[in-house]
Amino acid sequence: MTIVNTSKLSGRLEKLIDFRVGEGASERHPIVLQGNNSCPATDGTQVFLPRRENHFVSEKDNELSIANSTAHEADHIREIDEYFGAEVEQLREQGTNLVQEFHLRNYAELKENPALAGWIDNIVKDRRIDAQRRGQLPGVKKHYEEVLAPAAEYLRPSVKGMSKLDAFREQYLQRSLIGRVVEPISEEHRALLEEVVTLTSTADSIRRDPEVVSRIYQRLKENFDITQSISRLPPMLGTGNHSQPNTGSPQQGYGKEVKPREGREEGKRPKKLDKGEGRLYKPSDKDDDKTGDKKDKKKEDEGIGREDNKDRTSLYQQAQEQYGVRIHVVEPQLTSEMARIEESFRDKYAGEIESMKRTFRQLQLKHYGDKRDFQGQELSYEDYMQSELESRVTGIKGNGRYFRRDTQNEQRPAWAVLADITPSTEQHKILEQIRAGLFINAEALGVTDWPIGLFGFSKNVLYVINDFPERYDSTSSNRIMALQRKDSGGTYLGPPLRTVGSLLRRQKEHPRGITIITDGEDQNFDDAKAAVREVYDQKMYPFLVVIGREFEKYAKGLTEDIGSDHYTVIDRDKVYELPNEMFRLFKTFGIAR
Amino acid sequence: MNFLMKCSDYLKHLELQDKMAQYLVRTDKNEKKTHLLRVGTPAEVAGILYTDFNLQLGNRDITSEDIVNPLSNKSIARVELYQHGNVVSVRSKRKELSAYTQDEEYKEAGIIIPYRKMSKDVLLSRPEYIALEEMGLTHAYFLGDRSSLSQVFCFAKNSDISGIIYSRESDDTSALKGLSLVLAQRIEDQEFIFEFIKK
Repeated sequence: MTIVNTSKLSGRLEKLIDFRVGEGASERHPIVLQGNNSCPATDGTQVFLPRRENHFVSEKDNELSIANSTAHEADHIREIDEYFGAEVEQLREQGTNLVQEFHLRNYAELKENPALAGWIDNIVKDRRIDAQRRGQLPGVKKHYEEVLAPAAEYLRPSVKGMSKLDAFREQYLQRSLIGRVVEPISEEHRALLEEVVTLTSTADSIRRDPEVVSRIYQRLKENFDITQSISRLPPMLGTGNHSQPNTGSPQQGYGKEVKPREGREEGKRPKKLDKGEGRLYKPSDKDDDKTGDKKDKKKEDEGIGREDNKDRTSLYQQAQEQYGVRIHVVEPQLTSEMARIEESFRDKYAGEIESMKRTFRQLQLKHYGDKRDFQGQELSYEDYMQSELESRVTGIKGNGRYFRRDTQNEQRPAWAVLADITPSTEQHKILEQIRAGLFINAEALGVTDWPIGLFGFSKNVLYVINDFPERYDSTSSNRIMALQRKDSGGTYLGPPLRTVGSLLRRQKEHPRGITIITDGEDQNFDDAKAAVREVYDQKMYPFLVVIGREFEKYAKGLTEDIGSDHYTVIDRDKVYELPNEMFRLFKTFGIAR
Repeated sequence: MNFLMKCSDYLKHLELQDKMAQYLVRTDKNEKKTHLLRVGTPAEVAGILYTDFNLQLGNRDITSEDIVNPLSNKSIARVELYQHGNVVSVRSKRKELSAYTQDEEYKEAGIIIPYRKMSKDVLLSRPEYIALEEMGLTHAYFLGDRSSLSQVFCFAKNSDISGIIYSRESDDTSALKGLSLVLAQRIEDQEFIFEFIKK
């Protein structure tokens, strides 16, 4: 299986957008890279693409698959431009999600289940634009017939066990988009399926869509209980997501705004046949179940479901007043150039990120019990005896194998990374090295489920990249790339460090640490030194990572109150030493073995 | 054409370049043509291609384009796209003059010629090239002694691209060779479009 990074193709994909939408379109419709497993999508303005493609064995097929998806989304944009006409620019200036706008204007009347209407609309549009593109472009037709269609057919789920409506939807999707159904159609719905597929093929332009979708919706309403919850179906390869209505918005979704559950039984939740795996834009692999009580419970268990998370703004205001620091939340943004840099960071520092993961993992394991079994597990004789006793009394045989967990205790750390982006770092490209250090730390911490905070600081301004209640995801990495100083400059570590300390102090996890990546220069050295001491006294570990050997004297001075060498110095051209140096620090100060 | 002449003036102060033959390649989106010019007083058109290399839907064969003599309109060479593992190649009399391959190698008569591709940022970090920024400089190729070409500077403005070819030999064959390098980036960027529209 080969993996193709979308960012490496960005120039060619932008040309493709120009080719499908019109000259200069790629500037108006930027490509935004999402998670590795996200589905291609558009909000009518931007083209959202997965960061990587690896469905196919051949690199060429993976590249063409991304290209085809880009062309598909570009075709959606072209149709949206056609539909809204002169109004489109005004709507875009207002930041309107044009896909949502189309749905609101046309399907608000279909009150029983507007989500279903949106889903049908997606199929109708996808069928038309794919058919048109295959008709126009022989290469797309060939790729579809030889690669996409067989793979899509293979990946579709079985309709066995689905509700009647879901089974019909799945077969309607297969028949419309692949051209055939994988499993036999039930006699009961054969004629209906043919009818709706024929109706679908009559939608020859976006202007006909509302009428066609309404008719298909009515036919489904007559034959099924459409007020029932509809399950998520896996995405259709090459044409984006069909697990839910086309949201046009990777983060929020159409559903939230037009209440797709309107008119349905209360308390009934959509069944997840694919365990949420086919869901669009999950922030990370470990974060695929973000709905429901489970997540809340998990958060509570982990001590991160706190009330103060709800009101971060007031917390920031408090900190601003207390420490005299302005807090600026970095907006995520991703240009193709930034995506290229991010991808090059990811490639360049893959080994460092992996080592850093191992280093941080050590933070979890600190205390060891009296009895330690080197095999990892040991028999609990007490439980074994109890089991034997119970089986004799009840006559039900237990498995008789009871093991106690290793006596090693697991900790749950909370970690902050504070990067210096003051003007002094702009010399000799230190800022880029600091950004690399921040990126390596963030990527390594990002795979854990620990609360992590990523911050930048300059002249009394604290830039928030990722606050503790937030998950680290592609948006956070975008923010790292977008991190730029927006003040006049000046190096004052004290107030930002105290602010980060105050935020980290609220976390209940242990150990708590702050990695400060800096060049060590400070215009108020004594205050910075005092802040380092204060943070340490509040039982948080500050670690200075200084990039550039010439700044060692500052680092030494800043940390002399808390330990002789609570810092590490890394040569500018040796950022790859970061994981080893961090591990050495952790070991020195006994927070890792 | 003026801005290319201006570029060439800027580059004149570089050593040796006054002694070299200079050729200009420029695409014209409005006329859907590409001109190959021999720089001199006056500049002379050495060849014309009836395409601007912006790939479009249509019935034209996009895999090859003839370079024709401006006076006789007879083919003097041919540009081939995505043939035999090359992104772009220039052939004359059934022989491959030059080619830029999909592995990013540059070949002359089938022999790999070492080169350095300099990005815009690298070039603009040197004072002698700063003035080229406003001309739309995108990148440049620097070739060693094994090639008859010395340097190829590439520019882009809106939908048109252009290039200045510095050649050690003053024959039009060198200009034809340089055409591969001038066109390579544009053709490479349109790889997917090519894949999709080719029959």
